[in-house]
Amino acid sequence: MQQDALNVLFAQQNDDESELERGFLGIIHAGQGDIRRTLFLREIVPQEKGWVKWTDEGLKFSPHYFSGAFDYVAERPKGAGIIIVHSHPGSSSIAQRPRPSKPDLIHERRLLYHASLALPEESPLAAGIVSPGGSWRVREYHFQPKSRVQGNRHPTDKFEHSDAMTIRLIERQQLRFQFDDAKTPVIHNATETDSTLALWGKQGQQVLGNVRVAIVGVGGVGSILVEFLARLGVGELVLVDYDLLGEENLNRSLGARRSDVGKPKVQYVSRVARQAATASKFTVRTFRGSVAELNGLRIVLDCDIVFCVTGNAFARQVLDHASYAYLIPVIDGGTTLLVNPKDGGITGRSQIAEAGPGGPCLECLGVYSRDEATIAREEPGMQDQSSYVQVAGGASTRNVPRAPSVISTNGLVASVMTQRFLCTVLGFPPGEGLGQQRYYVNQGEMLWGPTESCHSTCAKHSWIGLGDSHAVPTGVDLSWRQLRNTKGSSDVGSGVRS
Amino acid sequence: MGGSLSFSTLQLPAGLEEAIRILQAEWGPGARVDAVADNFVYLWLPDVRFDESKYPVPHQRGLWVRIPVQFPHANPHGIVTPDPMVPLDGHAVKGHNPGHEMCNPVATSGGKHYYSWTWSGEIGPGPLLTSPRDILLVVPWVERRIKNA
Repeated sequence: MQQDALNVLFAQQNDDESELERGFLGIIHAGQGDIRRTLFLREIVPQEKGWVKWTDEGLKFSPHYFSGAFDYVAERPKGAGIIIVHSHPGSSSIAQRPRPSKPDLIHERRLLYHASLALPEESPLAAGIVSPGGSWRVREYHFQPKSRVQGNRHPTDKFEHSDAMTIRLIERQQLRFQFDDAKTPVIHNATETDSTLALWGKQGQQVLGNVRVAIVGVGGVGSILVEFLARLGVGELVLVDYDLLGEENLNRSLGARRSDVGKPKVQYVSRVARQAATASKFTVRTFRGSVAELNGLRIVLDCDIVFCVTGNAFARQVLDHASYAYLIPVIDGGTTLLVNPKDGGITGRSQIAEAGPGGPCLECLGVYSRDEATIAREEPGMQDQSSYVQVAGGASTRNVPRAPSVISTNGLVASVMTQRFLCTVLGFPPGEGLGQQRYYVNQGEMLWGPTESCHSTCAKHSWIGLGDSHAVPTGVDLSWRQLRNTKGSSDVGSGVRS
Repeated sequence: MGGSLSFSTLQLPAGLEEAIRILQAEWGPGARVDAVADNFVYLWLPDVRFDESKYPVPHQRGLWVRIPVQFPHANPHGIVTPDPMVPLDGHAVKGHNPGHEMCNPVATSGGKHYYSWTWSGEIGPGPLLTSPRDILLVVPWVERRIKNA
């Protein structure tokens, strides 16, 4: 989409007309997180010659073009809106973000106000300018309905607008940022990060310091990830988990103390994060809840990238949907170990996969199946088929036993997941790999999996950038509800955040 | 058979509502949601065909299919019937759980027998569900599953 926009705005054209500026109308959707709202540019409305024209009075968009754009909105899923974009002469550096002129602001406000009268109330309205280097500045407008504007004031005077803090450009497992000018340098202590600075420079460290990362599941792998990311200089971590630390978790929970047993895992892991953090303005947010539920999902929608280390197929499916609809890369990892009851031999594999625009989804990568995501929607006692299928006369209440886990494979998974993260946000090697990496315990080898794209029947790529217009299949996480009901203490509330 | 609880005010997700509308229009107006329990609705199908070569009369019976609220992003899971399914040859049907708690949401309407059938189970993978219209694939799947029970 970035390249398409640059082509419309800056590509050399054969005709002789010299145009100081060019523009286009785009179709956008919105996504609402807990504290962050995001607009997604999904498509550029085609224009005919003369529909966007540079005149003495500035750039003019013809009514035909707007009419065409309104038709697009009407044909798209509910929630579609319009962005007016125009080129801004200036720096060819992507680092230098363009600034709108006062006439620009007045003009776009007028155009968008009139567009608001023709569009459904929920349609987002925005304006943006782009420099030749591909740097954006975007504002979203909210107009007061005409009926509520008092007196003789022109209705375009009653509006609110918000400037985008961050522009995210996402393609084929690459996430690039354009941060607001107000974002500050983040390096805490140069001596702590010297050796890594040599790899990606201060600019790379700046990216790490401004990125907001969610870790869903802070168990064996998640606790190690938190330590790694905090030490790398990631500026903000969002930890999501509802589980309590058990005595049996101590052999694989990095940084946990015996006194943490019985308390929410997010509690001790946030302490680990704060102790390890090297970013100057480090923040850690915790959310005690499930991403399979809407309030948990909203927390994750505030983030730029997500680590999924939960074994729950329901949660995995929700994140898989969100990675496409909300353009949030999801890096998933886990290990399956099996013990042969006859000879005690251990087999298994660790798998690290990444989903998001340009790459295959977790479902097509075989990380979870539709049936697993279905069964995970049942009561915990019903999730193990063998525990109840052949039971006659009553239900089994046995919980699903946890899969065996060991800190060494957890460390391996966390390491490769962190590499994938660095690859996605900084272009760290390997640059070409798509899909999943698998470590086979018996062979001691790590190989790339065979899947590089989604199956032809998979619809996820058609949801890219739909935001809230796509119904992510959240529901009730019955394991979380059971824990709430059995513990029943005041610190086990629903969706507790800190 | 089949209770007629009032769900006129029930707010189902748009995808599932559309699926139910399609089912009522193209399969039978008697299809309806009788209960919602967490992530599943109990969809009453009044005239499901029981294969004549495998089952005694009646060969049209009513039953509930548990359809995920997030349909079509999750699969149907489990069937509840008022009476047990007893094939002509008398063999025990796999996954039969009489009086199972999964029957509770429709117990007052006569739901007594739970069959814990998964979409990809004994008869192989069920068809891929991708749109609300795919609700029309559910009834043939149920009938095929019953035939091969």
